[in-house]
Amino acid sequence: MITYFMFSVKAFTNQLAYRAEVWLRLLGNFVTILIQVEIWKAVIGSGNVDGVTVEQMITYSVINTLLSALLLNGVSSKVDDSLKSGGIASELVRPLSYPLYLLFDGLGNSIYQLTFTVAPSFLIAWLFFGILPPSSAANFIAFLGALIIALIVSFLLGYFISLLAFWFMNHFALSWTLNGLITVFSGSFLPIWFFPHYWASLAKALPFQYMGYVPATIYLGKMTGTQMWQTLALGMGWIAALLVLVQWLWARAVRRLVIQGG
Amino acid sequence: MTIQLFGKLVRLLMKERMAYRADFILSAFAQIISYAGDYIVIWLFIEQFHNLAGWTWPEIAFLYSIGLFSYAIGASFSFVQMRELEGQVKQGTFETILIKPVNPYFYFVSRGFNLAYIAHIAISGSVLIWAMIKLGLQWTWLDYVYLILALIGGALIQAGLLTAIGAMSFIWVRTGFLFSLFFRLKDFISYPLPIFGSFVQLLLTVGVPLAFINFYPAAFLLSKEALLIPQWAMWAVPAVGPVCYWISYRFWMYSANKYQGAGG
Amino acid sequence: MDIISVNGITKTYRQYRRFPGLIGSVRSLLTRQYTEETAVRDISFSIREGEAVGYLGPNGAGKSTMIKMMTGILVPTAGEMHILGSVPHEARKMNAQHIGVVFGQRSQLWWDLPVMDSFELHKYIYKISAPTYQNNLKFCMELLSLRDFIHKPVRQLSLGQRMRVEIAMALLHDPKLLFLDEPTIGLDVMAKDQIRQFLRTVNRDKKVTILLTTHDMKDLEEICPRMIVVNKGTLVYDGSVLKLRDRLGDERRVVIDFREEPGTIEFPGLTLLQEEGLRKTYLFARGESTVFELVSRIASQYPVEDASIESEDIESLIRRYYQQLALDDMRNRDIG
Repeated sequence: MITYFMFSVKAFTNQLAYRAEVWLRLLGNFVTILIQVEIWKAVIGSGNVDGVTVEQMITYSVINTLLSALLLNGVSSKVDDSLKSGGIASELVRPLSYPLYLLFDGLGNSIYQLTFTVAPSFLIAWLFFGILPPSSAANFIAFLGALIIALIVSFLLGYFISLLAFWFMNHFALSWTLNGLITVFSGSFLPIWFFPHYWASLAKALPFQYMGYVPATIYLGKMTGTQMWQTLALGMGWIAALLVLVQWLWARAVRRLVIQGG
Repeated sequence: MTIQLFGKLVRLLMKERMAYRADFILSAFAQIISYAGDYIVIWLFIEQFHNLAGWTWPEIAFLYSIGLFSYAIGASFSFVQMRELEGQVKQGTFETILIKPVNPYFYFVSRGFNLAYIAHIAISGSVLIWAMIKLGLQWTWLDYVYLILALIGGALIQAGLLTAIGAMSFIWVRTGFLFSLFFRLKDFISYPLPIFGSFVQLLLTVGVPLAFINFYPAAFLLSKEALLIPQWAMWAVPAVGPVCYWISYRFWMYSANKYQGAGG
Repeated sequence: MDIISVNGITKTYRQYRRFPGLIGSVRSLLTRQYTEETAVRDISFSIREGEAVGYLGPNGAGKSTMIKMMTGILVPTAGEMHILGSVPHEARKMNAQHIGVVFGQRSQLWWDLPVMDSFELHKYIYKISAPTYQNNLKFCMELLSLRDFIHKPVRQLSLGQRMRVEIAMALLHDPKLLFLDEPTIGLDVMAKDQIRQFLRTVNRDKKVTILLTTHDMKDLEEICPRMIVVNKGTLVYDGSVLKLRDRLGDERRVVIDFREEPGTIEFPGLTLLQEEGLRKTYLFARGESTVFELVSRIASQYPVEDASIESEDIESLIRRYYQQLALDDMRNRDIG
């Protein structure tokens, strides 16, 4: 476990080496939040639409923008790099679990992002636009749970894509497709409750909602009680299903790699 | 840099792509899915709220498509090249361009001329034409000329900004974050400018002239209110592109010279 | 006529410092420091048209930097330089038309396309006329035996084949001057040989002036009668191989097979290098007596079966030269 933790520390310090980027990242987040704030102000104004106020939408946008900095679907490009360079073979002979190494490397990045971009961005957003407090203590606890689910789901999806790339050898196409799906179905810009009926039921049948819509909705108290716990349980179900899928693919990918010699 | 040389380069680039035909088609398809995602989110949004600052769905589709179409043209001559310049400068591979009897900038951007933007062109072009039909525009030929000039101008603005960022590789070395900041700022112009406060409007007009890519031309062509620019000046909007591009080109060449002085 | 004239050229680089460790990382968020490093220091030489010159020195001696300045890629910090009569970085495009450059480790070929496509593009870039192109192509194809793989994608070529292609391409536009940066690095003996022979022909028959950097002394022996040696940015030797030998003292290696153990032999300038039973190898530095006198003296005093005299090869000569330079360096430091 200590070894894996050291991967996180290393990823963290690697990131630290570049200074101007920290400031630019804060600026980038500010811009993204500002755009959404202005859009919601334009369409909701001082009233509400379907019981949603502009303050709630601002909080929703801030949570989603900052969450996307923490998500781990970027792992797939890391696997792709070592697949293309042939480094994958040496990764596999190391006496440790490759997926776990990827997870902790990604988490190191997330912790870095949390300290240096998410926390200050949150403060800036709070000062400029105002952020609502979580709707209740129970919701806040459930929100934290939803965050962890978001991280794991994003990791598993990214990892899934990178395993598919063992066969398709086109990581570029796979990750663009994944991004397209996330854009629509995570609800990170337009919450699923504003979707037309058909699109809403489609979005709720897919795992992408856990990477944006679910945590923000729980935070705002738009989802409470049994429905909330049920959604979280379903999220765990998705994690279990994805785990089984990637384990199966991983075993086959390793076999493929051994047979073809990289 | 001659037309013949550029033609030869394009022929070789096509031949190179065709060596990996299936990959190329798959990637183009994935890019179309990804941009379809962007269009769908905006469409879903307008389904719920009917319009954004008085702009209806076909109007926003028109606005967004001008942005994407001109981006595809501009980026095919700049984005990937400029993003990779940093690595090439670091590894010293950029130097092989300096030993050729050609203008290094034009050779560099043409050598990397990116045919993959065909996917962007396909989706944004289709939606653009769909929106124009849907809007039932009563245009004179002048309007069509204006649209074409605006697309070229928009391409030049984006190529110019990406070129300026790429030029930083010669001085600063790490440019990755400037590119991502560029794309964050570019998100502004996916929506009509008037929804933003006057500071943002001013910023996108005189600071980073992104509003000239699609908003001003679209507002003019669709007879929408454009706040900061008076009606009579709208004819000059497509001229912003060439100016912006020329300045960036000079800056790139200046930085490349500076790099030659400082060394790798 | 001097095709290259270099006068008091100096080049300094700025190197930015990155601080190590976690605290260091935080520190580099706030400050930025750099040190100046001199890669080339006050170097002067000139090369006449038609010469073939080896430019050598240990790693980090500033060899590549010099080539980059001569091709106009980098601008010197100080000094004057004329290539083909003009200042290289000012007349970069014009000079490029008459210069061929081969970077051993930086390919200029199109990886996924047949070799021929890279050549064709080169023709457009340098605006080579059809007859010139055809002639040069034929010349290179024959002497470098490119025919077997000219229609293969570059990625399928061996390193030796690729290097032959790179060199051929650098000559398609009839350059007057050819720069090669480590052209034989990492190649097998056969490929090295073919490249050396070819370069010799190009230099002799086509009168192309050649300047090459190398680690391989055989390159020098076979291509370049003249060599320039640099060390830590400074020029330390410019002249023929023979003269360097003179300057370092003419050392010979003497191998003698004795019939029986001779014991210790005392002779001025003689040191025992190696013993394999009765075969003994000595190093002999020429002083008052010649190596023949030495051998006949020994033969008259000891029972000698056989004797052979080998002159030192250029590789160990250069190695010895570097050692001496390092020694001088240390002495200077002790005094200063």
